[in-house]
Amino acid sequence: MAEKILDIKNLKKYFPLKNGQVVKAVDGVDLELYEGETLGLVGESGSGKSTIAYVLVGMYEATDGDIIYKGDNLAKTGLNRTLKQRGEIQIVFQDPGSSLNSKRTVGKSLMVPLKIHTKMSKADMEKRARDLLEEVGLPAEFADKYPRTLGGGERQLISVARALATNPSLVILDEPTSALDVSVQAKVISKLIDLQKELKLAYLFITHDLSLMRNVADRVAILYLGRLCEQAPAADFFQKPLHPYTQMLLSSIPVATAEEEKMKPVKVLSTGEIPSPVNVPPGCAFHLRCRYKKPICMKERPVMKEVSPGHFVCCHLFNGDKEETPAKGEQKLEK
Amino acid sequence: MGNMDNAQKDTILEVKDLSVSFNVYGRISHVLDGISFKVKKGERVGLVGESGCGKTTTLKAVLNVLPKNAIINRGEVLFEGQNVFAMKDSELAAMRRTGAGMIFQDPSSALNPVFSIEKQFITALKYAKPKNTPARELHDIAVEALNSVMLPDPDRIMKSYPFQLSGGMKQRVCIAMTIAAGRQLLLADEPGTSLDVTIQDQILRLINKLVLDNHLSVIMVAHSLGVIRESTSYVNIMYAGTVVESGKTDDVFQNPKHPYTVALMSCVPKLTGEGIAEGIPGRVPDYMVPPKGCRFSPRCPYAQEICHTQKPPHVEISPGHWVSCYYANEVI
Repeated sequence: MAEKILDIKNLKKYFPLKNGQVVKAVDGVDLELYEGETLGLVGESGSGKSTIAYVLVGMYEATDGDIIYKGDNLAKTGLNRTLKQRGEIQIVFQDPGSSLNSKRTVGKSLMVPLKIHTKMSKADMEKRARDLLEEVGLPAEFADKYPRTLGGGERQLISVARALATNPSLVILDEPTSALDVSVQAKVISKLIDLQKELKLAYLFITHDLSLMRNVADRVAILYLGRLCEQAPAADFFQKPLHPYTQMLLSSIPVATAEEEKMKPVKVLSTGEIPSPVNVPPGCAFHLRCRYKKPICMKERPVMKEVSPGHFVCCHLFNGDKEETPAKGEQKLEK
Repeated sequence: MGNMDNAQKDTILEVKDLSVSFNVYGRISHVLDGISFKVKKGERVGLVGESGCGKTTTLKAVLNVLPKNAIINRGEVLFEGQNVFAMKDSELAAMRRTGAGMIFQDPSSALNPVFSIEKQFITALKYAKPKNTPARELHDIAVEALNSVMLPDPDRIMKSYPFQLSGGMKQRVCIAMTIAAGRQLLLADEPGTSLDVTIQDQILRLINKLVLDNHLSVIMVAHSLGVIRESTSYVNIMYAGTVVESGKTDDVFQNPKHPYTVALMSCVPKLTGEGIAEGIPGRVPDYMVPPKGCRFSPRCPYAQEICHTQKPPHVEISPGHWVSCYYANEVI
């Protein structure tokens, strides 16, 4: 088994509002990440995916909980991390149009992390910037270009190159291809997979696209209103989704082939909308939209339970006695 | 002859050989190049392609709302038999009010943030319904329309401002405003793209239901092949301002023939988890100097001499399945 590099325990991030209310963006999340693996984090907008990413890179301090990264607890550090800790965890943002400085040439943008993290001479930095471009499959001449003259996919690869400048072992990919066309997305993703193998990177891959997740992730975690619903190895997850929310999510994906149609759980019609994280419903956060809700779901928050090796579900259907679990296993849902 | 009349009657919209360029500071950008397709009454037609392939320009041409720098080189758009480019202003206005209406990608910017839904809705209806329709009646029509898009508590929605509604609710309001005027043709420009998948699913199901129940027609524009497969019966695959392949949605998806369609489908990540293709080499062509022959030829692995020099015709390779490629039957 590969070495565990990241252990997130009971992570919470609350944002107080001016009127005294609190936005519970992340509310008790446990995650682990191993060296060289891709963990897919999926959720709708407002589920707290990006907040987790920002806490991990130190843009926010966690309200509570632990982030153990290679033995150090980074939960409360915010940006006051050592240079080494900062270099170890890097992030690639969704929109490369706004995450690259439009007034700097690509080469200059790539030299910023080098200036901060290394003591290279200027000539060395220029050479390293060109090497980085080649590493992500772009021509070294791009160093003299401005981002606006490049396509979206190329810009995103430059963001990846910039993240790699500090030799990280964990890269957080926050919806790296949602702004791209599929043909360009395919290029970026296949490059990311190559880089991962080559450099033994761990990816925390954040996306709302489950079909993409199926093809890149080793393990998948589903987030709903700041809490995890389900976590499982990718193959297992797509074969037998257990949580009612996961089933709804999977059956909502528009798919392009008939074979994929068969993969979906029998249509669980999606209903309702994700509630505001200011007013998280009591009990299970999903009970307002759930077709199996029982009285207990409205009162008590379910706990994570391992139903098969590595497959965790957070739902009362799996917490209680066996007789009470109608959606257990591969059972298909009626129309 | 009688048959032809029937065919004419059945068709609500016909786009014939439409070619549109844009004058960009004195340089000409040749965007649409010979787009043709038909929408029958009650039919759901898809336009699918990557960003910049001319999907939205086509929709704008249908409503004749192209920007001022647009040049219509040739072709016509027939709405119920009438060419929209030759219509008088009053006829155009009538068509837009009660004939064809657009549902935009981003409902937040389609609604005016400073007016309540009621105000916007009633204003839109005032123009669509006969003059001197009593205000009470307009209000009832609006509430009924909100009901038909399955919005709970329409009276509260009417009083709300757009910022008080979620994205999915706003999109439902936009759809309600489009159908309440009695429009026959909906132009849906990526109606679910800015929403979450579960909400997108609800919106697409709603549009399907409205179209089937009321015998409306819809042109669904999307970049997602999945959306198109699940919500249309006929599809036009677009690449760089041309329709490269068209046919019944099931036929095209099961048996894609154009090299671009095949490449595009292989790029879509599949739930079955077969990994991801390498992508399509090269870039979308520069519209200022588009390739002479087939616009996909510079990126096509099968391209021959003729592909680079002569535009391939749109030919029927099997009943109802049309492809613009010289080698459609040979290479794939």
